[in-house]
Amino acid sequence: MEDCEKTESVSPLESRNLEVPVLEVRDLAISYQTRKRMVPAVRGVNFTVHQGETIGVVGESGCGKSTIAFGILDFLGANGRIVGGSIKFMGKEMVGSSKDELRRIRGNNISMVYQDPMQALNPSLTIGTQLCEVLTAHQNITKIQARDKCVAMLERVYMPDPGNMMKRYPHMISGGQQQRVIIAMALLNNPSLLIMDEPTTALDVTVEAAVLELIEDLKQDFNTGIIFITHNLGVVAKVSDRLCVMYAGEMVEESTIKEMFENPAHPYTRGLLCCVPRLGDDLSNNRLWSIRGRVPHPAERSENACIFAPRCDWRITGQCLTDKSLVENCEIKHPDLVNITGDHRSRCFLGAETLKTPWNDYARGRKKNLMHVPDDDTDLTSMETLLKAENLKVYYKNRNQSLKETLGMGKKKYVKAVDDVSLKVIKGSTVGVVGESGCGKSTFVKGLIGLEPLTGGSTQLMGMDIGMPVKQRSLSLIRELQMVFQNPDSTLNPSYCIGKQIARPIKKFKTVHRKKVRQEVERLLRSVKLSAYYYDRFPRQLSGGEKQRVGIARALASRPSMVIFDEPVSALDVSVQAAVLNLLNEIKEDIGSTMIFIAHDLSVVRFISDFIAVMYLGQIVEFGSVKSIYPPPYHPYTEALLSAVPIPDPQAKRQSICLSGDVPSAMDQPSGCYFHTRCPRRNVLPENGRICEEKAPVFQKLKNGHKILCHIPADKLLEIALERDDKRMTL
Amino acid sequence: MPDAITTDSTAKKKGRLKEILSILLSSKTAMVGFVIVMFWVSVAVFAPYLTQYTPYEQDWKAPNQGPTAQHILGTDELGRDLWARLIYGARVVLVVLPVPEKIVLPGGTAVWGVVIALVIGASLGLIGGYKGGWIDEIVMRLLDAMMAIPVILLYLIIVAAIGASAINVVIAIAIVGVPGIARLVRSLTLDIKTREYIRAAETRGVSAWFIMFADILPNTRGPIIIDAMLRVGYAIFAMGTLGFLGLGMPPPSPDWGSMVAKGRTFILMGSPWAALWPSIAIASLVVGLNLLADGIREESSRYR
Repeated sequence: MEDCEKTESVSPLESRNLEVPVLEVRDLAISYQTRKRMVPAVRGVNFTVHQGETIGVVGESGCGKSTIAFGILDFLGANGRIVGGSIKFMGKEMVGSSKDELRRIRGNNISMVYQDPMQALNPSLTIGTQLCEVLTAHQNITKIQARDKCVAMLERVYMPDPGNMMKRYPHMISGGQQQRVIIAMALLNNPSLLIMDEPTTALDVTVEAAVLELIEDLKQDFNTGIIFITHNLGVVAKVSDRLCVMYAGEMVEESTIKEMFENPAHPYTRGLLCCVPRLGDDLSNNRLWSIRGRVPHPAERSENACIFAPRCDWRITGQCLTDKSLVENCEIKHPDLVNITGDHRSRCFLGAETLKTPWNDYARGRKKNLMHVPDDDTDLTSMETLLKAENLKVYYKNRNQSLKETLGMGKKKYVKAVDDVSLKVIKGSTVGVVGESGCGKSTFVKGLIGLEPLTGGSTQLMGMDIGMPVKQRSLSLIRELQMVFQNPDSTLNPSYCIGKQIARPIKKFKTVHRKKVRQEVERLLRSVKLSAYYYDRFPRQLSGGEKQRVGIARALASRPSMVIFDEPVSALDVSVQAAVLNLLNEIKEDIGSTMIFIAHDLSVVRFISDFIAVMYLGQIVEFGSVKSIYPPPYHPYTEALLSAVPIPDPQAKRQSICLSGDVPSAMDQPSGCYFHTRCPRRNVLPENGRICEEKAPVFQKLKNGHKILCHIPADKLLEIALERDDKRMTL
Repeated sequence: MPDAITTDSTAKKKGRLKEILSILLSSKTAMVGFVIVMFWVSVAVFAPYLTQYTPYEQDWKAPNQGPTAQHILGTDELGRDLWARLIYGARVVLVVLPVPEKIVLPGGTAVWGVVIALVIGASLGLIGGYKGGWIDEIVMRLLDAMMAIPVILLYLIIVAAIGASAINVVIAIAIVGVPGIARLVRSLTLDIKTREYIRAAETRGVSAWFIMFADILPNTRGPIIIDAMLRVGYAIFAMGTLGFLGLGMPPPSPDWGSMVAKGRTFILMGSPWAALWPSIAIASLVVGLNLLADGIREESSRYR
């Protein structure tokens, strides 16, 4: 750590000093006009993008990442304005230039890739038309030439069958392919600068891995300067050369990617890095590091104090600090960006002082007792079952409006959202359910709770049949099974205050006496770490994490024996996610409730679950305790999911297994094994896995209740997984 | 503890008022509309104190006069003071509803009509939207059939069938307003019922009625309030039309529509006043309500 100071290293960019950078942003400040006054959204942003260089911009939501991108593109809307600083594009000043001039400078030199590919493509035009338009609008080029160029570009982004793809409409291709089309579109004019605003956030992990691979590949060929905006440190570690960390509209730290992940200096950066649950962590960890408080609203940001001070543990607890005088100024002066080492700047009074403490040394909480399954107990018969689902099926009838169908002559088609799922939930345990979107996770739990009618199979809770819709269940049965929802913005009714919403189930199920309802609500609020004065608040006054806590409190209000969590943290920022996960683990320890926890991220469920079920196309393909899921052998699908999780470490060699194609439609599933169309491992079986196409596999029952639905013998699966030699997986 | 709650809730109410006021103040359109509407409302409320005449007093010596010191807006063909008739007319529209036997209800004809339409329309819309299926089909097709009849014809049919009186005008306004409000509430319900808090209520086994009226209805209030304001404007317009056709308040009560109808024969004889003032009154009130509704809608969606 000490030689950090000594290495006054020569900037690797020194050789480039002669060349004009693609984009130079200095002291950029952007404000938005609101009804009352101008509110600063971004201030003090400095960075430079050179040719062929990728700058990552990370930060939680509301930190002004997208505002920077819109500022560069001059898309700030009617009430946004650049109030200071300069943006130089290819040496030309853009702030203060007229609109016409800006359009000429920018022309087709800057492209942007947005978060949601479906919204960026026009649904009523073919992909070919939309791609060609980009070329014919800016260049003097014939239609045929444009078409050829577009086909070549689609080929370049690895689209299957590009000629045919040109004739399709956006809804006919998958999300991952849509994002490829958008990237192709952005690159068609060979721009000098490409801005990517969360390009992989809306995609599944496996698709995300493939798109990131593509971006990295294109970077080398096109020599374009890229600004890559994301909230995911794992993603940014993979594609960026330099990294800017944004907090509350300010750039708090900037350096090369390697330096940033090895020696993060700013307390916020360190906090962010520590919040991320990692695959490599010890399984017995059950607390994550989380940053206290929340990102301040733009109107509440102080002009003359460090904005991070209210959340900074270095200031508040004086953690690891020998010289306390360093934090004296935090609340009275606004810190400037200071050079720490040669090419590393941080906006903190502590400067290089923080580097003396290794960042990954934060305590990560108490040990939990991992559930132990006896070696030979393949069906978990030795443990007390709380909920049992057997051969559960949820089918939707596919409505076809054709004449033949209306007359009842066509063949009836079903969307098999959940197809023959059997699951046991052990009392006091947490079962994590993982899978890509569209694999039936949500439908499965909705079938359990009675929001979707079951097509077949049976479900039992504590031995009682719960196979009927929620409206036909008795009140005592309803209160035993409650649910927490995904979207914090729609989980609470905006018309009622928090207290009333939590009080409602209490009154309905009469868990306490009528006069004690308020006390009970306050108790519940305390149990989710919210103070009693939240009683009178309205949902719009709460942040996403707080809303999700209220949702949890509301689900716990009826004192259920089992709670289902439908992706409760996937819409939250990392630091908030960490806090909510910690809370759930605490609740689990305190009241010993049983949970089903749905997530699409294997690193999150690992942290909270005792058992994990991996779902693919409406089926469970692998089930087992955490101890048997994370080390090999894996189901090939689990293996792909695991390898696709982005790692927040630029040094780590990613060995992602790219799945070919997309999840097939749940209406006509592939024959035999549902996964055979995408399986990267079927070639180990004779005749390139013909059996996979012909015969549906059965569960191979291994030790400790571990089950794998695959034709490949478990020993062989173990062997292949070990061959890959991924350090993260062999604990 | 209870003290803390009450102070908190009063503070919240103050905050609400402040917010509404700031919306009004920051939108010029809304402010102009608000001033016009408030002018007519206050004139109607204080009508007895704003004139020395009653709307029925006839002055045989001064028929069809222009504005003079004695009659600030002039007189009609029977020598009745136009200012008095105008503001008592506003009273019927906006402030009091004369039910028979000399009992009056607060709230004018137009306001009552819209409120009744709101109650019926919102209930039908909620039920159709939330329940769906054949209930929705039946309700919506019936309302569609009603919407197929031209509005003015519908008014005429209803009033002609049940007779012209203040109560019957209210009934007519209510019936005509129902389909539009039901459609609006239904579309809002279809959106809101997919939200997760509705699912959460369903997983708690809450009854459908409770979900409809306690969970969904409060969240539709924004668009409904805007729509109701516009509807009051249409209702005033419709009342003017009915009055003009002789189907409004029975004479001699001061009805703007019938004032225009009577006064129009004297326009070419050199005294347009009896027709002019009520026309301006109707026009300005309708425009004012429209401006207010538009302004609020625009302003409240601006800084989202």
